[in-house]
Amino acid sequence: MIARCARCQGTFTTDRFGQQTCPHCGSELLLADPSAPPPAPGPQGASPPEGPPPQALPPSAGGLAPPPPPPAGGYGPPYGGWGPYPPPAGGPDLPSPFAERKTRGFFGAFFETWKLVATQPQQFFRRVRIDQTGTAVLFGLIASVAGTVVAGLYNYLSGQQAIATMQQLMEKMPEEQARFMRTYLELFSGGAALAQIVISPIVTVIFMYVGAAILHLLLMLFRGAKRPFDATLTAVAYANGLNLLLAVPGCGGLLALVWGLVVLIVGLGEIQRCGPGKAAAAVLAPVALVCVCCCGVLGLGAPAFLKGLGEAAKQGKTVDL
Amino acid sequence: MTVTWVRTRRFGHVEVFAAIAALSFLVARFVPLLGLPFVCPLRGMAGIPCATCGMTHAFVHLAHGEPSLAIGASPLGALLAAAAWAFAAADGLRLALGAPLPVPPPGAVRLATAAGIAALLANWAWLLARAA
Repeated sequence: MIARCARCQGTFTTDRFGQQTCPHCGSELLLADPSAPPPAPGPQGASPPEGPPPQALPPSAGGLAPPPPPPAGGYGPPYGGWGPYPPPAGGPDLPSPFAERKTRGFFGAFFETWKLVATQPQQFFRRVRIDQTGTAVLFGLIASVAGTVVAGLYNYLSGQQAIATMQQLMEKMPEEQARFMRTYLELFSGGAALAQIVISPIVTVIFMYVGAAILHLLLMLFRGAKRPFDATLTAVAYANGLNLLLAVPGCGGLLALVWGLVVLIVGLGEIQRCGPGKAAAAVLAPVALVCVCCCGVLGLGAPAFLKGLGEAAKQGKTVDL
Repeated sequence: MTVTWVRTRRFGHVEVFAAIAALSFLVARFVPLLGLPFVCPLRGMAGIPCATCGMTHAFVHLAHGEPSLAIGASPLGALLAAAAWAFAAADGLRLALGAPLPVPPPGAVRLATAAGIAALLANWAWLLARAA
């Protein structure tokens, strides 16, 4: 018999009913046996219906029968469903899983939302509701603070070791730059690291709001703000969730920065319906300004740093990195 | 230019921005920010000021009633501080009176954004010229 997948609408042949996998999109589907008795009503609290069932089609002389009309609301994700689906042309916006944390459970909803933001930003931001900015800000706040707390504790515990390591390299730097490096190392270790943890919640909220305002203004300038400020704030806040990666020791900061920027560009393009070009222009314009500073610092500091490493190696010194 | 007047929630996004502006005044006035051992990375390593250099000084000086020092540190920073605190006060007054929120047309916002970017670049040029 021939079956049609309810998700991708692809047809395939099969010789049995029951659980199977669509060969086109890989979705797990249940092909109901039409001769089987109707199922008894399930207990209360059972999982909600998961969209239309796949259909077994009778083979006909003229080929496949025309596909049935889609159900109301289309084949978009079913109740609470953020599973894989082709990007819809329209349809109602959905609350994020985190917005349903009371029914889904706090941690489950948080990590499900995080996974969607990080791995399927296009689908997520295309359909997420923009009138729940409180939820979005709370999500970004929790993720950022969690990442900052872990990174801060790590910096606090490893601060003295990092300073001792850098001291060996700073001996080869010009005095002015070495003093500057020392100041920064002290600023991001020891008690200062703990102070960052304390002020991180308020700083995160300020960064989200001010960042969203700047991005929205730039989007307006590029004529890319098709939806109100709430949409931009929602994108910024959910993308801020990537700051959870700050908890990864060592490369967490870089990972959070790069991945967060990608998610923000994709998310803004989708949520504002302006495409990735205008979103990238709006996001990267302020980043370019920051890069002028950071790249200048890297450009000036890196040679001295590498020179220090090289000379230490020549002298047979060990530098514990 | 037509300004739209909109009734807003009691504490919406506008009030969050007003709160941030008010907080910036409190921090600039009461926290010893200039005593922190923080140096602009670009200035520390290259001796060149970045586009936002001097803004903390401008906020702190203006919060202490020293407008000439604030303008000397960063003209744009002084202007930004004055505008932010005026906005916070105006929004507080608007809330107290229950008045609607004036919303400028998109064209005016675009113009203001472009002017802001031009002002930022002009401010940076001024800082670079002064440092040279």
